[in-house]
Amino acid sequence: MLADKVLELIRELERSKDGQMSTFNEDAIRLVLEEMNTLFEQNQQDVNATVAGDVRFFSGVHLRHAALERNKRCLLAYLYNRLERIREMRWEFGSILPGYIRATMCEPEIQWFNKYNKTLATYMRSLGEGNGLDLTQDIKPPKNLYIEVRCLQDYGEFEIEEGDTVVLQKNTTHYLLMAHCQHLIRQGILEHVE
Amino acid sequence: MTSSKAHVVNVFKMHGLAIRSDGAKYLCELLDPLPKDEHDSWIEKVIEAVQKLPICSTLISKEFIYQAAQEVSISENDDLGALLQIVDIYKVPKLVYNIERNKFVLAPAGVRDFHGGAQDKAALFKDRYTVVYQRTCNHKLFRRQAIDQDDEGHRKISLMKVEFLLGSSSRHDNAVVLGLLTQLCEGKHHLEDDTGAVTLDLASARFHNGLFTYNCFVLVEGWYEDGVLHASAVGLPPPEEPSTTRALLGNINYFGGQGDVCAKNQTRLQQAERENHDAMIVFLSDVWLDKIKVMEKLRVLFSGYANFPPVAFIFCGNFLSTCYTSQQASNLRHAFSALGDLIMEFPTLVDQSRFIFVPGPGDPGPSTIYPRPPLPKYVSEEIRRKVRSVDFVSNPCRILYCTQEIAVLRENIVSKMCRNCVYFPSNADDIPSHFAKTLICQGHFSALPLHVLPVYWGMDHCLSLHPTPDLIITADKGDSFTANYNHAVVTNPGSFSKTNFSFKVYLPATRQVEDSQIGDDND
Repeated sequence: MLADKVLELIRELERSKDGQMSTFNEDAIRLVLEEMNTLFEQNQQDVNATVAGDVRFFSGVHLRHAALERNKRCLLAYLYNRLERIREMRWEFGSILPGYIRATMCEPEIQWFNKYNKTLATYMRSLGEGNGLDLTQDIKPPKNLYIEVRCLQDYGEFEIEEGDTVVLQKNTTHYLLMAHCQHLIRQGILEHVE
Repeated sequence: MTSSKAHVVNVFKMHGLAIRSDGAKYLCELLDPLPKDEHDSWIEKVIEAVQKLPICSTLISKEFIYQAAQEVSISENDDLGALLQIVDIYKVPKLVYNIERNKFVLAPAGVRDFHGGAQDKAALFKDRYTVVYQRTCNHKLFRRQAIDQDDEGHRKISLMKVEFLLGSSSRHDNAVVLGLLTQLCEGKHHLEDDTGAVTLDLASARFHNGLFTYNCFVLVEGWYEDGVLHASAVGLPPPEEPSTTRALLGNINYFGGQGDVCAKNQTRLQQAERENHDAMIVFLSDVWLDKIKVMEKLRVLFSGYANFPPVAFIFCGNFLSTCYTSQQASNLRHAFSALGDLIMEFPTLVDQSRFIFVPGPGDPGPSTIYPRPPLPKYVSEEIRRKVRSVDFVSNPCRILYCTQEIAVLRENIVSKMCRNCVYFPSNADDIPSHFAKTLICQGHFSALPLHVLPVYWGMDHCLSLHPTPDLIITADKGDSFTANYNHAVVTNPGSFSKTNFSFKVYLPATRQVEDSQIGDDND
């Protein structure tokens, strides 16, 4: 069936909802592009025939054209939705993606991610009177300035902004400024003790 | 004024990175001597480099900053002097097939074991098979198509695995199998793939072009009955256009050398290649430095090139006319020293050309198992002292000139393959084209049994020719030839000392190989 292959890509996208990433399906995309090429060539032939006065093929041209358009839309939807998801991941995981997610992305996507990263960083630095404002922090409104955290793994010396250092060892608890330790919580080094 | 540490930490934080205090301190020290208003742009550059490093956490320690700073300094200072790059063969990246992603990816770098275990020997054949199998599957004859073509011009062939044949009890016509041609028990041919082996009957087979040796991957078409595959046609697996292979691989550095991206896609190198349209690379093989006649001819060669220095002279061994004497190493040392004196008479060559030496099978070294290391330091130290631009390289070796990939092997591989053929081609005068096709279709330098051309099991990927390089040089003592296949040039400069001092010149701009000779009338 025409434009069948491309539906698989959309299904794949649908199946991997809620923040997961499926592997970039280069193979399927190549197949779809080949299909589009063949459709285009066939159309070209029939259009030439139509121009020459033979109108029998005209409806076939329409059908193939519709299939081409559909393929194009689905491919673009696939790429766009993946980009959206990658953007969400910048806010979820920070600027370094875990290796297993990186492996699912193709090279241009990684480049896009890096560029997005840079744009975001430039924007965040332009805020807050020259000091920058980290927008990725405090995605949920904090209840307290200080929180109690427990170390889940040996991290070593951790520097707080004023030059003080805290030694973060496994199973120790600390009372720290939330802004300082939030990225460590997100990485799973610290755990918020309620 | 020092750039404040807090500032560095803050900039990193905006990029979503947490820099450790030692790293921040180190970076501040690096930035110190630079003008203050450039600090921010340098930090940005370092961050960009950090993000390209293979790291999995947002925590940046001093080592990463160090690596990133190195990268930045390399990319800032790179001069165009390094148009010719010699790739360290022991650090050549390895391509492995990732089933999940359906593509070849680079294997994680690490120390590879020369003397591998049994599983490395199995992996050697499996890796070679995967390359050929994936290429074949991607070929348009075998690939499944999105639209079923109903015209007869497109006959679809589907590959069968050996396991499938062995498991079926009925007769199969039109079976097409890709496998390794072997001899598992005496007097019988077998076809082996990653699922099993089947007896092969070659009695009524028609052979396509190519040199079919044991340990060579072949496509067999025929009928299968009672555990025997009766071949009706035997051919080499189809080659893959280098541009297709590269597109499938993506922008990764599969060839080796500096940088993380493929040299083909670097505009700077492309431009440099276009600008240097007069560039030449000279190849000589079997340069017997102990013969006075050879040295005389080399003098003629150097004086001829003195006004137009080529990019490189590539000398292949053997470097002595008699091998395996007790005096070999010291003789070679003196011969190289004399060659150094000779080169020093031509200062333009010393300044502008590189002299690359590839050891031959008879030259001193640990053994003739491939890849073999460069000539020992004892042999090379005198000439190194005299001439700066000499490089002693491994055999095989890889050279990158701008965007062109060059693979060199000094081994009498043509004669070895002809001798070990299962079926010798009927049109024997066209051996070069058969040979070139075999090499490129196998995607590997060696399609020979391991006892004929021994290879270190763990280092087999060093001999790989996938994707097909632009120039493949197989220096063989036999007749010189040049053949083109699949956008690559395969050439053999022939023996310099035995064949009246003939050699080859490669012109990268036109991708042509020119035959040259120093005749007797020249001197």
